[in-house]
Amino acid sequence: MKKRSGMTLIEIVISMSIFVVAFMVISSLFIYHTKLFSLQESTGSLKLQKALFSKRFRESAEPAKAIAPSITLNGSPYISSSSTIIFQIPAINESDEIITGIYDYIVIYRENTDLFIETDADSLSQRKDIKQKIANTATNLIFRYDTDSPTDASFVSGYLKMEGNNASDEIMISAYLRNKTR
Amino acid sequence: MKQPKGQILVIVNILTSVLLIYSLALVNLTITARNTEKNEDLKIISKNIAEAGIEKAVWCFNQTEGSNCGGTYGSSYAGESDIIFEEGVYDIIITSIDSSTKQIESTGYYPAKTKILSKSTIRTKITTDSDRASFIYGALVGEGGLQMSNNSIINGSIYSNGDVIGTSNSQITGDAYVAGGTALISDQEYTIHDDDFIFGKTNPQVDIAQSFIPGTSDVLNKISLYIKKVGGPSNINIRILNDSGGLPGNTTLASATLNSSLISTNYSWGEISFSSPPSLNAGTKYWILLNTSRNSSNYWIIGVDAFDGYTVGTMTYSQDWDDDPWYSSGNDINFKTWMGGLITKIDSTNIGGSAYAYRIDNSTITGNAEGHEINQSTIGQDAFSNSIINSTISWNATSTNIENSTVGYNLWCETYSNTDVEGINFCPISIIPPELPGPIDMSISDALIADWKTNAEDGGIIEGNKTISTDTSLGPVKINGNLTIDGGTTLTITGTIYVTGDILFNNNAILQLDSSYGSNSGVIMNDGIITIENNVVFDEAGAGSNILLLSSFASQSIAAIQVNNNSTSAILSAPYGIIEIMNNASLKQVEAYLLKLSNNAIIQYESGLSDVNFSSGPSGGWSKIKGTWQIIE
Repeated sequence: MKKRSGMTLIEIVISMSIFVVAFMVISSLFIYHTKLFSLQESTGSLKLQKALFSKRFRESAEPAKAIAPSITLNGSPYISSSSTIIFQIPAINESDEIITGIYDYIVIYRENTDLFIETDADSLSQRKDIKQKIANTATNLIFRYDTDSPTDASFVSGYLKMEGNNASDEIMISAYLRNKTR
Repeated sequence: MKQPKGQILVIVNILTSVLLIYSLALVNLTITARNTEKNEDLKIISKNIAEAGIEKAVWCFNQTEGSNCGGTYGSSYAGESDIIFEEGVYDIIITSIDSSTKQIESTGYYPAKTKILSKSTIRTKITTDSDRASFIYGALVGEGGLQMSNNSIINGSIYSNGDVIGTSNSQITGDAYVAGGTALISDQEYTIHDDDFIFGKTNPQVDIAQSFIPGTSDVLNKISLYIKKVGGPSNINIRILNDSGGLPGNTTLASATLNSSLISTNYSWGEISFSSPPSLNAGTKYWILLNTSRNSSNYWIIGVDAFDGYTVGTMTYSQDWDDDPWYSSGNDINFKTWMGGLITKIDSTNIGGSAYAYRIDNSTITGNAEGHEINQSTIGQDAFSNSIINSTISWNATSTNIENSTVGYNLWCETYSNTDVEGINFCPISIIPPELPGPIDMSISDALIADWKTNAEDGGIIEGNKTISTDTSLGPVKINGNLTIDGGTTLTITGTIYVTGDILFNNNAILQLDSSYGSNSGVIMNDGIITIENNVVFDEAGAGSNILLLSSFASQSIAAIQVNNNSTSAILSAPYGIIEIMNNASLKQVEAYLLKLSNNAIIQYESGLSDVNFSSGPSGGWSKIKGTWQIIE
């Protein structure tokens, strides 16, 4: 009868030790990468939101004829202030030509940590009514005007601060209203 | 039993794969964020380059030489391409909207057109700070109308809010539009026809009258009578009389003639318009008198109500209205009164194009004629009217009623009599009369006049009368007094001149627009009278440039602008007054409340006058139009 071979206690202890050490190394590496990923993901996401805010703010502010005092969208009133801005923009037709005397309105505002840009387009305009969330980490949104009354402004600035998952970012962007009659 | 081996390797592989996937996703996100941010930065760079192109184009439009603008400059600037700016390049495309509006489209490339990392296109429009006016017609005339006599000619089209009255050999070579005036309002009428009343046949039923009481206070422009004739009776003298104790009085408020030739032997509504419409008061009784002569074979029959049913009036008759007594007939005449409104016409004029007016009388129209009434006229092409009487239509005729006329081709009408039709007669057929042109405003608005006055005053004020005795440059300036330009001297306009008094151009005076006006036009204006004596010459600055003489003098009897022998080449405007042009004077375009042309006067319309830019002076430049800036790409 062949003698059955087995593991000695020392072998078992050594193998378990190796396993524990390897498990701890791999686990710590995994946890580190998960945190790193989360941070990097958050940082990247904030950069994207920041770039999107910059782009949309500029695209709204520069062609604007004026800052509108107020507007009601879907039953909700909005007033141009330090936390909300309403751009009055010349409407455009299918040929991208400006329609004289017809205007679209773009509102930028914050609800909790969500940042929205909402367009209220005239029926003759090529633009469409749309509500777009461009950030979900906004912790502060401030608009500044070069005049006491927002409706008189010809130069506006927007400040956005975003925070999420141990990362934060902020941006300040300014623009002249190119179509403002001074 | 053999023990399985390699579990650790499997676990390590799984964990490594997960980590690898996480890492790749992280790298992708990081790269995407970085590229988005970078692209946004590059977009801003190319947009700034494009905006530099816009600024360059505006600058070039305001230059007087083209060495830095690709050779072209000023209003002729044609754009440029491949212009290096900082780290990029831009192209400028110019599109001309009209003579005072241009579109600039600038495209910025970063860093180069051959290696584009970012590209932006911006578009905007610019305009000159000059004022624009559009003179579409050779003559634009207000409610005072146009009076032409003795070979006077308008080479072009005219638009008049009042009558166009010509005489021998007066001619309009283009189209003539006469506003149809305001619509007449029916006031009183009684149309129950159950009996006939014969008058002008036997005594004492020779003159007849019908009383009525207006419902509104206004002018009585027209009456209609339901009438027919027997034989060829004499014309009826229609009068509006006052009331005297319930009978016709002797005071004639207005009179007109109902021409026997316009009335047929069958009943129809004869219309009588008053050239001087009387003002009637609501609630006051007046009389319509039909005064004719007696003839037993040639007489009149008028439709009446046998029962005197018109409660506010009645009918009477007399052998002679102002000498003999009146008798009650116990009837009411079938009649209508038309208050308010304004009837306009073209009368005794030769028109080379087409004519549009409420009435066209005694005229020769080479083209088409449209109106409410066409009487005793020759129409070279088609005629479209509510009524055509005693006329010759070379082509087709469409009219509710046509009488005593000739139609060269086909005829469409509801009723007709004594009319020769060479083609097919489609009568009776329902006809809807043509719509008439409405009144239009003068080309130069009050606001524009006010602007010009302000521009002139901004240049300084001269107190007292000013006489130009030697060659002089003047403007912009306001003169609180009169301005006289002596004979043979040259006045060079360097800006708008506003004179509060009269302006006199003596014989052979020369008015020269400064060359700095370029293609823009200049203005001399005043509140008084402008007199242009013989052989006065107006010299523009260049192609498209004009001199406008404008008088704000308001009078319906004294001429605001008078042009005498042989003076030439200007635009005249007297929006509230009269312009008189005489003896071989030749003008480019004229606008007035009332325009009088006589003795070979010629208005020679120039096509470029449909778009004229007036500058307040040489400072006129180009600037962006707010509200036209847009990002295309």
